[in-house]
Amino acid sequence: MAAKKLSRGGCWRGVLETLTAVFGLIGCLFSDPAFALEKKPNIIFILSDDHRWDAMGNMGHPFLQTPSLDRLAQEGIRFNNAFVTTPLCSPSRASFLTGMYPHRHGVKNNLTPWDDRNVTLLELLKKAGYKTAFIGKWHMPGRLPNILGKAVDRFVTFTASGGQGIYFDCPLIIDGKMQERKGRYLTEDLTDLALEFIKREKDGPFCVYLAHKAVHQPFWTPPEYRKLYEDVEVGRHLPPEYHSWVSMMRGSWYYGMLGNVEQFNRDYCRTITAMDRQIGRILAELEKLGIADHTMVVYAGDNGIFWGEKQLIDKRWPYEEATRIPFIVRYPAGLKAPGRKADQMVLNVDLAPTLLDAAGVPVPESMQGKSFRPVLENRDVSLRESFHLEYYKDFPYRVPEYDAVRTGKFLYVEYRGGKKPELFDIQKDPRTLQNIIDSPEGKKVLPELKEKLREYVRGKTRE
Amino acid sequence: MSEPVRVEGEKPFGSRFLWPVGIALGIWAGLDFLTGQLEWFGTGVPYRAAAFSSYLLLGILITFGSFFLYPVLFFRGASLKERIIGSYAVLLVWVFAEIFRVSETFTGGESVYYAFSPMPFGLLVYQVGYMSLCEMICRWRLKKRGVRGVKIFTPGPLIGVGVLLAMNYLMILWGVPEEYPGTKWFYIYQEGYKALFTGK
Repeated sequence: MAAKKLSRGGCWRGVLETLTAVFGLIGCLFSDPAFALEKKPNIIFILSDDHRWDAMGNMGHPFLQTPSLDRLAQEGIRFNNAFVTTPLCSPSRASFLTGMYPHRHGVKNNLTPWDDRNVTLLELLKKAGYKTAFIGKWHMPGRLPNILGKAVDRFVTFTASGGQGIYFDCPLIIDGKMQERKGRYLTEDLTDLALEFIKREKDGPFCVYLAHKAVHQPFWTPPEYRKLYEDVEVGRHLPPEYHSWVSMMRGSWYYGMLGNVEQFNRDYCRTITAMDRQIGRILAELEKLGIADHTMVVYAGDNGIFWGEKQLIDKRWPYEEATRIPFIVRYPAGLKAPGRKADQMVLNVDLAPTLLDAAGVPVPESMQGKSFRPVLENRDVSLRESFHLEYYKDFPYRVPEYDAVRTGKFLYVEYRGGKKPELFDIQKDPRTLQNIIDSPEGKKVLPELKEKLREYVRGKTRE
Repeated sequence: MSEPVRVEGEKPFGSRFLWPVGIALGIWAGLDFLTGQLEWFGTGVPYRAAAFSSYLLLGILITFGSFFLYPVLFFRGASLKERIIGSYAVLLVWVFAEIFRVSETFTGGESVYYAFSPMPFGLLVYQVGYMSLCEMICRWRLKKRGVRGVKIFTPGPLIGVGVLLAMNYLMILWGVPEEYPGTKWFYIYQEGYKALFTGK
C-alpha cells in the first residue's frame, strides 16, 4: 500500500482540525448542559381541569396544601404569566395537543367535534421514536379519536357522563376495550395506569399525556380527604363580591354548582390536594426508577375558574380568573437555575412546540404556539408582547362570543351581540373591576389595542 | 270525568285572581330588581346577607311558587283554569325574562330553545305535580271543613303526581345521579340543539 505523502500545508491543516475537535469536545463538556444532552428527555405532561393559577401552596394560597406541586415549582420553573387562548375545556385541551388555536384545530366549544386530521404532538413524538400514551380525559365532542397505533401506544380514556367522567367507579376504555373499574377513584386509577406505562417504558424515551378529570366539579375526593380544611373559614378567602348563592345567578344555572359556594370551594381545595398526592406518587416513582433527571415533568391546568369574582362562577369569560393557569416545568438534567419564577407570557398552544423542541423534533409550521425552551435555558428572552383570546358560543351557557387582546398591561375585549367592549389596566386593576374604555387613559391606548386585535382577527378569518 | 272542585261563594275576579297573582309577581319583580342592585349593600356582611336572602327567596318563589299560590287561589274561589294560569304566572314571567336576557347572546330561535333546557322546562313541568298535590291537599281541607261530596283522589291530580315522579326521574336520577343529576337529559337536549341549529 503506497504511503500517502503529506504536504506541509496538509499537515498543519490536520493539526488544526484535531485541535478544533478537542476544543469542541471540551467546550461541550463545560457548556450549559440544557438540552445539549444526547439522550432525548422522557416527558410526562399532567393536565388538570379547572385548576386556577393561584390555587397552589407555592402561589401563597392561605390554606391549600399542595406539597408535590410546590416541590415541582421549587425544583423547576413556575410560569407566573401562563394563559389559555380559550378558557373552556375542550378547545383548550385540543390546543395543548395540537399547538393550535381553536379557529385552526376546529374544536371551538364543547359542541364542535375533534377532527382526526389534526396532528397531535403525541403523533410527532411517536414518529420520532417515542413510546407514547394518552391517559385520561379526552372530552372533545364527537366520537373518540383514531389515535391508537397512529399517535399513541396506549390510549386510556372514558366516555361516562358525556366524556366528563365520574370520580368513582368510572369505566375506562383501555386500548379500545371497555373495563369496569369498581371501587376506584379516578385520579388514582389514571395515575396507576400512567405509572404502569412509565415502568414498562423506563428505558425511554417515552411521553405520557396524563389528563385528569380532577379538579372539575363535583369535586369529589376519597374518604380520607373529606374532613380536610373543615375548620377553615373559606368565605374569608373568597373575593369580597362573592355570596353563597352566586352559582344561582342569572344565566348561571348550568354551571353545575347549584348550592353553597363556600362548601364547593372547600371541596375544590380538597380535590386539588387529593390530586397533588397522585402527582407525588409519580415523582417518587421516577426517582425510584432512577429516571427523574432525564424526565421532563410539565404540569398545567386547562383553564381557571371563578369563585364569585364579579359575581361570576365557572370559566369562559376573558378575565384573569378564567384565562390564567398553573404552569410548571421540572427537568433536572436540562433546566438552568431551577426554582425560578418566569414572567414571560406562555400559552397552552406553546406546550406542543416546546416539547417537540426539547425532543429535537421539528415543529410543524401549522403550530401557532412558540417554544419556550429559551426560557427553560434561562435566556433573557421575551416570547411575546401580547396574545389573542378567542371564545365561541357554547349553548346554553350565556357567555357571548368574543375576541380579545391581552398585553402585559392591558386586556381589551370585543363581544359579539349587545355587550359593550371592555378595557382593563391589568397592572393597576388585576381583578378587572374597572372598565376604563371611556377614561382618558383608556382612550389613549385604545387605538393601538384595537389595531392589534384587528390584526389577530384578520389572521383568524383568513383561515 | 268529574267536575273540577271549586269553593262556593265566588269572589270578584280581582279579589280571587288579580290580587294574589299580582302580589306574587310584585314580589318576584322586587327580588329580581334587588338581586341586580346588590352593589348598594357594599361588599361586606350586609351585602352577603342581602344576596343570601334575596336569592334564596327568589329561588323558592320560582321553584315552588305554585305551592303558595294554588291554595290561595283555590280558597278564594278561583276556577281550575284560573288556578292553573295563576300558579304559572311567576314561573312564566321568569322564563320569558330569561329568554329576553339570553337573546343578547343567542339568536331568536336559540333563545326560545333555551326555554326547553332542563331547568326552565323541568320547572314548568314540575308545577303540574305541585298543583296536583295542592289540589288534593285543598280538597282534603275542604272535606275536613265538612263540605260533602268532595273526592280527594281523582284521575287528574293523580296523573299530575305521576308526571312529577317521572320528571324527578328525568331531572335527577337519569344519568349519574351521584355526580351529575339529569345529565342524560341534558346531553339529549344538547344533541337536539346541534341537530336544530348546527346541522350536525
